[in-house]
Amino acid sequence: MNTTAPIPTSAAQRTAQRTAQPTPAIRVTELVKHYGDNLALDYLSMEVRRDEIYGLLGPNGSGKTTAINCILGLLTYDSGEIRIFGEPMGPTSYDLKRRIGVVPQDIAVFNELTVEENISYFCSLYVADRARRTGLVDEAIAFVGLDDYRTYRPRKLSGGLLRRLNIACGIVHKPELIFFDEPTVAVDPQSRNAILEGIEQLNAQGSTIVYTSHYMEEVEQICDRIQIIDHGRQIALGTADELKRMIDVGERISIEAPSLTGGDDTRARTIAALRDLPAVHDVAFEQDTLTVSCVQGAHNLIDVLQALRQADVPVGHVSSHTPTLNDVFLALTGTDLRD
Amino acid sequence: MWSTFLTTLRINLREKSSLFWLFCFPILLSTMFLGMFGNLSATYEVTTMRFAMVANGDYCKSEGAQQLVAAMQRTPVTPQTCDTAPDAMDVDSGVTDLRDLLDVTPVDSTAEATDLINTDTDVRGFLTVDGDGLLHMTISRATVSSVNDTMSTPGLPVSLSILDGAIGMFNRQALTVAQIMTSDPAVFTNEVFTAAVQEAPGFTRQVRLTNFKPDESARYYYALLAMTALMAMTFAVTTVCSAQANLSALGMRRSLAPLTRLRQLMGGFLASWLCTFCSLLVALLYIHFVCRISFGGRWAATLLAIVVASFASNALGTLLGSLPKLTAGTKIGLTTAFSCALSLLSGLYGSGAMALSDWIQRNAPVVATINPTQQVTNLFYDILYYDSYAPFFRTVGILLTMAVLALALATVFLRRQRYAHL
Repeated sequence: MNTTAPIPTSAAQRTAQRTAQPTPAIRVTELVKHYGDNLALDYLSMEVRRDEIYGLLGPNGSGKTTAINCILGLLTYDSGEIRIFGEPMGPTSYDLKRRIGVVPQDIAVFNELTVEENISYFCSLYVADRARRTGLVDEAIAFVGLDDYRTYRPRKLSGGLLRRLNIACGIVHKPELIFFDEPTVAVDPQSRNAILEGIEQLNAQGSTIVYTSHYMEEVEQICDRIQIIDHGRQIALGTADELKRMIDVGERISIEAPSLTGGDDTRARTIAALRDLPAVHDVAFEQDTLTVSCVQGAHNLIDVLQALRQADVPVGHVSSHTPTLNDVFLALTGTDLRD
Repeated sequence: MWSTFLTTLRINLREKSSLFWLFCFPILLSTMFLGMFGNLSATYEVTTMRFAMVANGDYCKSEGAQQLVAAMQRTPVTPQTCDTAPDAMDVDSGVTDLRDLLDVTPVDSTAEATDLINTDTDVRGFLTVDGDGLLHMTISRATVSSVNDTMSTPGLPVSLSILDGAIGMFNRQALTVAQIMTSDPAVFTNEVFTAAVQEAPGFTRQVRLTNFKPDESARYYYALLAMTALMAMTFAVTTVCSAQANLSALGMRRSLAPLTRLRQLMGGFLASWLCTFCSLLVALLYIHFVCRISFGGRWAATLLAIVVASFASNALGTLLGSLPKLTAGTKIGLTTAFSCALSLLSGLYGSGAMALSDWIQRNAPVVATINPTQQVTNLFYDILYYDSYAPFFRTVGILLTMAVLALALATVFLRRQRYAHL
């Protein structure tokens, strides 16, 4: 994507700006949706503020896409209320639809049309004026960096370029609210970064973004606020830092200690010594690596290494990790996000 | 709606499989029919045969034989050996013109005629007149062997048969007259008797009951047009499927646009209708100008027929496309299956299928009435064979009724805008 335009504000600044705005971009209240006997959305509520990037994070089948499709008026639901920009949203809410852009998870373009024709067609569904449309199409093509591929048919494009085309078709009419439903599935790292930067740029230009993914790193990287859902229920909501603060683990230290593999007594003594440290929350030994979970602290690594030296345990490779959203998900649900 | 119309048009015309099945396939099949049935009508047509005529003294004496031979030539040839040119017989040719039967080369003797037919294979045989004034026909070996080859000489057997019949009739009359002259010559003073003798026997006479000369093979081409029309349902099926959120990601994206579904579907329908019309028009022009199949010269009605056929086809395609709980692939498969199966009932697949089609028309007319391929076939049939346009407009009415019912049902299915599942 073309990332030459600077992103003017930090996430914190943007969050501060938004608090002043009264009407949220999306307000979903206690949404319930069944697929037969299966409960897909379990009184799910959501409030997306204007101009933020709102992440909807959850494992596959957690109800992210169902929630989005209900919000967009495509799916029926059993109960609850959906409002977009303060207005009730339904299949015939054409004025609202005009302000919304959607980048679906599957590639939704015509294989028989060129890149330019595809973008132009989807633009024509929103913008009647041909002259204005031409400008918007050019802008969208430039934005996703498909200038060299204007006359290409989708079949000739790589996976990453196809994703860009899919995005261009969804944003060409400059919507105020854009839904990105797992836009980086099956995309190479380079294209993924370009897509994420493009989303941040769209947000910087004033669009509110709803971003669904099961890739926690992406959500953490670009979203101002994150709602974690599982089994159609909200598990947690907040900024990435707020979510991480919800769990006890502030730091996870991994230490290679091959000498502990043989002696059971030494291993037990060492683990007990580490557990005695005030900041240590949990200690595990697997293969030849000790994993020490600590609460947030400035000297955790030093304290742990000192304890190992006192126990005469030689150490190899040492690394320290801050907790991820997966840790949050694991702590809150007992299962891994990637399961 | 306009941009959807243009886009659908572009998509339809770029979709290679549609282009093949709807533009190339009918032409290929017509060409195949042309190869199969092209000689069918030629088999019954009179072809001009080169014959030698032994113009000896017997021939010059037999005024009757001269008159008969002259009657079967477009430009009668008078042999130099004969002093006078006979008047050609007045042949009531009707539709078949017997003056195209012979192209005569006079020769002086039987030996010369034999040499000629042995050296020039284009000369089919020779005619001689014996001392009694009776005509005899001899055909060459080459002609004998080519008589069974209907591909290279399709009209030869029937032309030889006509010539043989004419000679036989002439000889029987000549013998009868000669016998009466011998036994009771006075009877020729009886005018009623002489008129009866001169009168040609009542053989099979060709009469035209239909608006246009019947063409055995035309039905196959009409059934092919009907199949093409039904195959073109694919256009409408694809158009509807690509606008339904529960059938494709494209449909989902289009459902999210601030444009009513009716306008999107209308644009797609009009484009598909135009494509079907063009596909039928191309097939029709090929069938008429290359395969020489007539539409009775009623071009306005023929164009109206393909307008109606393409409209009905797209209405049925819209219905098929809107059926709930079926995937897009299944609907396309059903389109092909319906087209092929219904074409069987309208007689596309050969004489057996034609017999089945006729049987259905006679014994189960309701089945024929609700079969769209049969009705499209009937459109062209009505144009060609009936003097009145009433049968044609009746068929138009049946197809339009089918189309309206299909669209009404499709509207019921397509009114749904939100789904329980996607």
